[in-house]
Amino acid sequence: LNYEIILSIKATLKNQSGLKYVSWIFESEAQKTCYLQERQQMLRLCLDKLHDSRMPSLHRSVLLANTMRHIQREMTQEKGDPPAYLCSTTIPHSQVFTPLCTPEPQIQSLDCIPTLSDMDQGYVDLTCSRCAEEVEMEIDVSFFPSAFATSSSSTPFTDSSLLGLTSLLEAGNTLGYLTDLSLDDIFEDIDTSMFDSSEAASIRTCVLCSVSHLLAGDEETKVLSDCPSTSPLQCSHNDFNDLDHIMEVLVGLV
Amino acid sequence: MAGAGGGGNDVQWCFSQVKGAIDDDVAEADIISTVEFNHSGELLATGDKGGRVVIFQQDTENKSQPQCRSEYNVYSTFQSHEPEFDYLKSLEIEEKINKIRWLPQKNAAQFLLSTNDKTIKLWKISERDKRPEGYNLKEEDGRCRDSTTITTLRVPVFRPMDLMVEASPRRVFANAHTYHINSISVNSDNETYLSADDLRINLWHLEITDRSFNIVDIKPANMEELTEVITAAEFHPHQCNTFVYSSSKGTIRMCDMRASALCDKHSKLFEEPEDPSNRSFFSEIISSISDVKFSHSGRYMMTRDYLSVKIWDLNMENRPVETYQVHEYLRSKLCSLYENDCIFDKFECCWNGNDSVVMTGSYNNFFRMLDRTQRRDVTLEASRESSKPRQVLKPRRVCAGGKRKKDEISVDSLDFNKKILHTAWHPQENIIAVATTNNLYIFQEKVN
Repeated sequence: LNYEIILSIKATLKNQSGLKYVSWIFESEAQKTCYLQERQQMLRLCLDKLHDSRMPSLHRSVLLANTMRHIQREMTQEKGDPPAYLCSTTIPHSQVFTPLCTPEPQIQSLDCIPTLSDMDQGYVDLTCSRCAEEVEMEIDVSFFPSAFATSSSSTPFTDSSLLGLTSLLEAGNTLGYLTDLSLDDIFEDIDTSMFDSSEAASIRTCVLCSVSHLLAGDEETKVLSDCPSTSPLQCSHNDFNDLDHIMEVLVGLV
Repeated sequence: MAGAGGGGNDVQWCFSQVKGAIDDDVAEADIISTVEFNHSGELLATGDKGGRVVIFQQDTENKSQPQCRSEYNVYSTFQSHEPEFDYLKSLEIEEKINKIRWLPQKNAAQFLLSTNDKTIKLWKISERDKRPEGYNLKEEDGRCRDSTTITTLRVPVFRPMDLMVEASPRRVFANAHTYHINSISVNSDNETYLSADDLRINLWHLEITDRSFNIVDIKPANMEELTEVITAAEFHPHQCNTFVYSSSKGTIRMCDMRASALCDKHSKLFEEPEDPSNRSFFSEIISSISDVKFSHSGRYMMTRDYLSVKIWDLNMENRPVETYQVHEYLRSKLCSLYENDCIFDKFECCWNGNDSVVMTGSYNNFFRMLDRTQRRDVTLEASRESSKPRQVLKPRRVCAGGKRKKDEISVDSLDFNKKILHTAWHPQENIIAVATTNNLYIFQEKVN
């Protein structure tokens, strides 16, 4: 059950609004398992299907959302500690991995959701072709072995704010930035209780919130845990403020 | 006769007729979306994706002679629903007929309810085979006669004419459903009926169109907490206060309308505990019930989920009394069926006249007859190749894996685009209607 998390790349990414943020990329030496692969595949398919607007059906959306929740619950139960991020391609683990997704304001960015592989069971291949194509990054290869290499019992993150950052970034990605969002398509800030399509969307939002939930460390969940009951837009407001703060902290760290 | 005794396996099924276009290029509007016999079995109605209803009538001329086979011929065709556009939500409302339910016949005319996603309509189908002739003030072709030329008066008389079948909409029940209607069911009191969408069930009076009563509402206050939807609902065939509705989580709730106005509290909950050995990512999706039907006797009900048919005794809630696997060979293929969305297909099921056999559809234009009394089952196919007049249908077998025997078809060769979702069984005779994508097959019992 020993594993080592080596922080191999610190990448500076730009989102569509031009805002720079920092994201962490790691590699894991653990082995992949078929089950995790399939589970990941399921999760990805769930997302794809939820995004598929060709067949809007509340029944279908509910089934997909429940399946996703089930997978997420299983993933959280498997690890007591907050998970680390892992987003790897099929290239050997010693090499550079693609970073976390481009922070597109649309939900589609979650197609390349970071895998939540068990650190003790393996990493999962997740080809992020989208990432590979679209991200512009300046790669600063740095190593923080002593600070971040861990044993199986402790979390890879000693600084919860780091977790928070990436989770908030994810949340920001999922919930969208204010300016670029086509609200009609995804969210509606009017009473949606009468609307089919937005209900499907709100199920998606909720599910995606909870996915972000999963990625977040415990301390940071209080921001995201508000999401299901508040409007997605309010969440991104919070994200912005925390983001600034955490940027400062990070910059100080590094 | 009449489905007595055997039914499923003592009966040999023969091809009788096929309705619909022959060519493989299926027009979307021709896709059959519902099939239903009326209470006598004389009429067979189909609804399609184009919003049309086609009614076939059994040819009764030779019924007295058991050797003769009765044929169903087109009786009436009409456009029931048109596509609509909801301007408020910018959504198109499909004209596809989701369900047709016949009303019991009270007079010479026939009545049926047909529904699309949002609106239910009551149609009156009546025959006209006489017309008045011999008016004083107008000619036979309708032109007015000059009154100055009339010297005598005559009484107009009815004379026979070619049969004309007219369908006219008598009621339109609209604007009561926010979500998509999946079921309608006529009450045994012949005055009311229910309509169910994903989250609500409404009770209507057949005479009153401007209001309905909401009797079930499972919409959560926060839509993001929604985890379950209503998939089907039906009134009990004899108890006018009782109805059931099934959910996407594999549960069936029976409600008594006498208990309260809003039947959110069920009086019975039918649920089978999950078999832990069969647990997979798809467990929840395949447990979603796609159809629920009471037996004619009213003692049992049948549910259809993705892989099985279950018969429930209304007095036993914790498990079904019988479970039949429809196509267990698909269990190992669930992942690909999930990818191509087939796992979301909603199959219907039906009882025969004396509740001894149940039938449901599958893929590759296969359908299954499950004999409850003899505990046997058979797989048959609706295909043009087996469509010679009175040709006996041969049982089909699917090879799940390993060596494929002669006449077996392997799971990987199944055509998942050829699905039989809708089937119907004549209420008294061994005549079944099976809908493939755009064709309606009628099979009858082999008569020696």
